Amino acid sequence: MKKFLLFFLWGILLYSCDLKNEEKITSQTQLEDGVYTFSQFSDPNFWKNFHSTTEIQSACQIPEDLLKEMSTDNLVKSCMNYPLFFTYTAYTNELVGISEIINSFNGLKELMSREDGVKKLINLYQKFNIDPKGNVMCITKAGLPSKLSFLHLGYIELLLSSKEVSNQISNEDVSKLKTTALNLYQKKLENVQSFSMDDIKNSLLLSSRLKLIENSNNVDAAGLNDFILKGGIVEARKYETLSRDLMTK
Amino acid sequence: MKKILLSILFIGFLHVANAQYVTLYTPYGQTIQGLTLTELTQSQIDYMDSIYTVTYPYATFLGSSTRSYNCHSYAWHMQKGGSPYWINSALDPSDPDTAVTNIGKYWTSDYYVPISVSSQAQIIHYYRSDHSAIASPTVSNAYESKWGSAPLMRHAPEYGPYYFMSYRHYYAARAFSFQISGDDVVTVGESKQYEVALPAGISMTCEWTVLDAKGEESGYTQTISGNINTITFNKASFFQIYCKVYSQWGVCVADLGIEIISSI
Repeated sequence: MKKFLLFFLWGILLYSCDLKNEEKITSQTQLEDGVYTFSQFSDPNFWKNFHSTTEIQSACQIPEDLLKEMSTDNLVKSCMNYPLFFTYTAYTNELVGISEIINSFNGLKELMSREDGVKKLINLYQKFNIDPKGNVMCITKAGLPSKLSFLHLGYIELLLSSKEVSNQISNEDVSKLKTTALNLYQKKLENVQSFSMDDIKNSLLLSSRLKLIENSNNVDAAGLNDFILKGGIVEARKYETLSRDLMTK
Repeated sequence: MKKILLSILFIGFLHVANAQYVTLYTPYGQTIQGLTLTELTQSQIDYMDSIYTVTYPYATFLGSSTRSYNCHSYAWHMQKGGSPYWINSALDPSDPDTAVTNIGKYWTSDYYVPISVSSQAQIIHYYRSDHSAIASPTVSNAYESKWGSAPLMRHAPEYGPYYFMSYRHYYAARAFSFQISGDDVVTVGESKQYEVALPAGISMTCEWTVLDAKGEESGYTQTISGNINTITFNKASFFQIYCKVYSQWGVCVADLGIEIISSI
């Protein structure tokens, strides 16, 4: 009996060690050059493991031990790999959706808490571009999703437009961001086949936010705040005014 | 030069954009602000359909991604036969206390009322996620909802792209049957009271009409006091008593009638 009990306990110990190793191996294999890639989620069948939103959300977190050790550069890239990054499009007001993502995904929470988090996000945005065929690209490829889409561009533009991130954007950052935002806005306009008014909306939301941070005297702060609060869901006429005021001055 | 180029490009873009506000109405006639938004490109629609169906394999795809309508429109407006529009939950999103100033009209003195029994719900409001759904008419314990500009899906109540799906309020059509009550056989010269009971806590008006067998408004006198009509029949005849009930916003919500026989 005593032997059996010892054997049983030994079995439990081995099993628990095995579980921990398995978890570690699983999370380690999703690291590529220090970036958490969520690679398991690229297999469509993997999503079948989750039967509720709560299960999906908890599976889409970066393991805490990796998160704390990760460099901010790698953390920004890991956030771009977040498997639920596109769910902002399920919201009537996409800025509300982005806020929910920020508050629910530990990668973005960690990024917001780091002193250099927003700066690194801005650096990454500056590397975004759109090629003549309308494909979204980023100069830095390592660690990012192999195929970027209009939804990734929307994700980063809405992140930068969100109140959580924009609170940390300095006046110095504004000029850098404005140049990139304007360039991407122009490329979107040149590619009507690939981009819709919804993508223009994201450019205008970011530019509105930057204009408010600049706090220049001739800005219609109330109008811009209203546009942001409505998540950019306004009449086309308003877009015309904003486009003229924000993008051609 | 760049400024001019950008302006030209934008105007060209705007040419295909026709986003504008429209006035819609609740079943009882309150005004709702709707919007027509410009559509996604076909490649964007295909991409969004694909990414959502892969990520949520236990949801059933019912309709493609589109910006022509959203969840609130699908649940509150289109279920009563309305055309597709985009409907924001609030008119002024800056005030959290009035976060549902637009869609809240559907359940404030109107056709829908809040209920507590989830299984009887016709419409579900995910109040922490600014989302609305309907109870599936075909599959029990399932909801159907439009996921923003993403696809229309059938899904379990807590399965989807929102972060607070357990925070739900339930609504059903007001369970109230309007009818005219009163005697249908009367004696000439006798005064009788006819009444339409109205739902509590909501303002409605009644419009009464009484016709004799020839379809003329004669052979009786009446004293109308809102939902009560006291009628004295002065001749032997058949009479029809009609009552149209109007919401406070002027929509006819019930058109009622009863037949009376008046004899000596």
